[in-house]
Amino acid sequence: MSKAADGQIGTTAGPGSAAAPTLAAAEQGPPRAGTLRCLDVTKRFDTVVALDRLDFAAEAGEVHAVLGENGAGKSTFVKILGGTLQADEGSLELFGSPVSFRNPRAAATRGVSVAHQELSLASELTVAQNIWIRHAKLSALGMLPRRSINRRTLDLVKRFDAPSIEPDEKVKNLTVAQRQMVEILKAIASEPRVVVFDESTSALPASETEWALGLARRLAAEGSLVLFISHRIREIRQVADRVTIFRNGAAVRSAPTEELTDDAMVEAMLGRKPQTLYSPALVAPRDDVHALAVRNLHGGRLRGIDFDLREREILGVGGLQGQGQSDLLFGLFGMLGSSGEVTVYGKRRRIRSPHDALAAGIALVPEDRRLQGLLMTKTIRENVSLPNLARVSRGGFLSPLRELALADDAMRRLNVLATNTEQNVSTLSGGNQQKVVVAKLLELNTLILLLNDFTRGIDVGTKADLFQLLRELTAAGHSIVFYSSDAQELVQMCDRILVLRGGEVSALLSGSQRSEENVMRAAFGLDFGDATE
Amino acid sequence: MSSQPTAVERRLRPRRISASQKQELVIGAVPYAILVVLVVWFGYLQPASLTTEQVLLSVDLALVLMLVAVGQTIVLLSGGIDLSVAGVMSVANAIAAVYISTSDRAVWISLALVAVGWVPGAINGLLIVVFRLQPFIVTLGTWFVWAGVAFYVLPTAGDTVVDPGFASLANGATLGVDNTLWFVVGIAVVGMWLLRTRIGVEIRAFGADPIAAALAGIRTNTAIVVAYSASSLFSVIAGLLLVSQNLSGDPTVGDKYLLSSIAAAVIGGTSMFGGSATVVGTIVGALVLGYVARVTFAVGLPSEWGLIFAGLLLAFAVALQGLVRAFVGRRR
Repeated sequence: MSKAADGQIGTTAGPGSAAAPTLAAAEQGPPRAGTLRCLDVTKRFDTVVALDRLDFAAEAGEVHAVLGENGAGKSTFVKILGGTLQADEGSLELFGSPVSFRNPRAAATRGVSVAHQELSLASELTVAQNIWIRHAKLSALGMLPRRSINRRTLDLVKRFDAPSIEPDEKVKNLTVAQRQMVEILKAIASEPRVVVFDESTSALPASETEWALGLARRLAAEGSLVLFISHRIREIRQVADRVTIFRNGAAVRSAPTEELTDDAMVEAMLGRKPQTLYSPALVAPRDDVHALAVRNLHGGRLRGIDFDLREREILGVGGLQGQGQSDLLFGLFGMLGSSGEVTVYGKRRRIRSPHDALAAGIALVPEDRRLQGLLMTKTIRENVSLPNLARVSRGGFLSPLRELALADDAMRRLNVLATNTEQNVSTLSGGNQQKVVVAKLLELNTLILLLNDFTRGIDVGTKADLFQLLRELTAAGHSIVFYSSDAQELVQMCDRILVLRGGEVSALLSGSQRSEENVMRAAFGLDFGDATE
Repeated sequence: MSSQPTAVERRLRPRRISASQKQELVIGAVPYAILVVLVVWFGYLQPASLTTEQVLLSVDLALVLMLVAVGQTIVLLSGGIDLSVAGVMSVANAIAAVYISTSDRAVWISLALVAVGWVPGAINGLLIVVFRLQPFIVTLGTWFVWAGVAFYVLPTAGDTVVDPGFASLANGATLGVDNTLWFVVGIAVVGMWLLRTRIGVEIRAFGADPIAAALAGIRTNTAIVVAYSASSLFSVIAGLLLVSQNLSGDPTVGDKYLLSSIAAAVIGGTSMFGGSATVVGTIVGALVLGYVARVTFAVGLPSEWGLIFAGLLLAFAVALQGLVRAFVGRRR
């Protein structure tokens, strides 16, 4: 599997792709004059120092991974590089000359192009319009020529061996993975000298991820500098010549990839020796009590799902993308108009709306905490109050004291790191935001938590914290359905794993059956067993 | 790149339109369907309404609204709203009514007004961009200012009689074709052209996803200023044309067109959230509203019935678009 990216390079037709120069940059020894250098770059937001005298250097011809926890300064770094933000102090050098980008256009003009994590696509424009809006040759009347940009899009797809895409389709009609690919194509369409892949693979399924990794290698082989931001160490091993690790706004370590062990990377990110990253069950699930029993659940992509969730259990839901995993959670939360039997602690429940679900003690933690989970412009207190308005009101009016008490309780319960309850949730780290989302739901006396891609965009260190939190929740009697697209996470976190395929249960893995390989095999509808092969 | 499609290209080409494209086609057809139903129904009640002359009269009634509405559409596309069209149109109307006394002057004053017609919009755009103000508030303010200016220029309606020669702008014919039709074609061509230029596509991108558009490096500020400039230019031409139609001025005339311009755009399929609109849709929307007014008048109902009818139609059109979105070509 890890060789697939190299294989793909071999198959792509194009200049400079004859051999994969995996160690091109490393063999040259210490960095040369510098394609990209940052000297003492500092960026502050109010009192928070996002970048603290960052020194960074990377060379053309290499894939250079940037690794770090959330809040380590990676995003700020990328934004300064892409012209979205400007550094307060320090200097940026590109090909030996100092630069400062006032806006994304300025960066693009100098050959710096970013495939943004949050995507820079306009949903109402077509794929081709999005890719070419900035640099298409205009027609005589100044119009964006539809035919020619469509053709150039197909050329681009062909040239970079990308999965097929319809150039005339509006972006709003694409899947998340397709959008991510358009974002990547758009970033490379202008033939930039520096390309940033900002967590570009986090929303991609396996085959497209292989494509993106192969593409990164190929661009480097053709002479570009590729900066590769990812939380997935395995991908970084596969693709990067060199890794720079950020911590607290500074680059703490930079070395050729093969000189760093996984432990060394994690240690550099955390600034300490890693403990066991994933936490085992504190209290075993209760075999005799079923928190949730689901029979013949239909709706959306689901075609008859049966399963039981034991009390205190973490039940994983996995499979290839789009096999009904999200629909399963939405269905249980009453958002799908699904049909089937749902029994909560032995009692039949009709769940036709989120209101019914909450009344039955089932809560959903949505996948996008920034859009669906939180009111980003509000304080922790306001966010916690929102689903609990009845509890914090008196005679129809909000009681400030009760609100405060509730928010305080929520914060303490999940150990949310913030100055106080009046802090804006947008200023919290990703992990702490996620804690606020869970905290406000717990105040509703939730028994069963449905977690939709709980750790998306959460770094390794915080992940361990969140996993510990989930274990504590189960120890306290909660039961959890845990959907993740990351098989490794499922194996290390879940007591049992339900693998979906085509809207049906393909496998229920438990005990020694739980392995990444078995999750993959079940996802593809293959046989599986305890054996390793 | 050869002109013949390669195997890969052929493989990548769509074999059929996607469900979502189908949905868009159907939604796009809603305003046309409403217009056709109206025309056929009224034609059935009053066969005389289907003569060329009568049809042209209906288009005439909708023409001024069409201009304002297309301008409004461009602003709505950018995710904003332009209330100042009312004031700007009134000022242009008042100036034309007061100063056009001879045919000779008519040409110069018209050209001068058109030449500076974009300025009020540029002011709106700059206020929005530079001070990061909300379009609603900015254009509410400039609406009041221009409304005041209109009163200053022309204190009361209908006082001035404009040179009758100026009427030929709206009522004459060029190359044997009624000027009204030239105007409609002109509005359509200019509007469609503008939205297909790079800046037009940038306006759409910004309206759909402002943050993504900024990240993509498009000229967001320019897009906003251009959108409002275009809108005020269209409003000025509308004010001018109205003088040519009526041969008199009215310092409050724009107010009548403000909400109708938004209604026409929405009936034509424009999204109030920005990012989605077509010029031809809005033109059809304006024709629908013009036709409703005419039908009400023709069957002898008082004009308030026209308002009620137009309101119901607006709700109906929006509901129909929603239904299409919910039921036509649904995926999965």
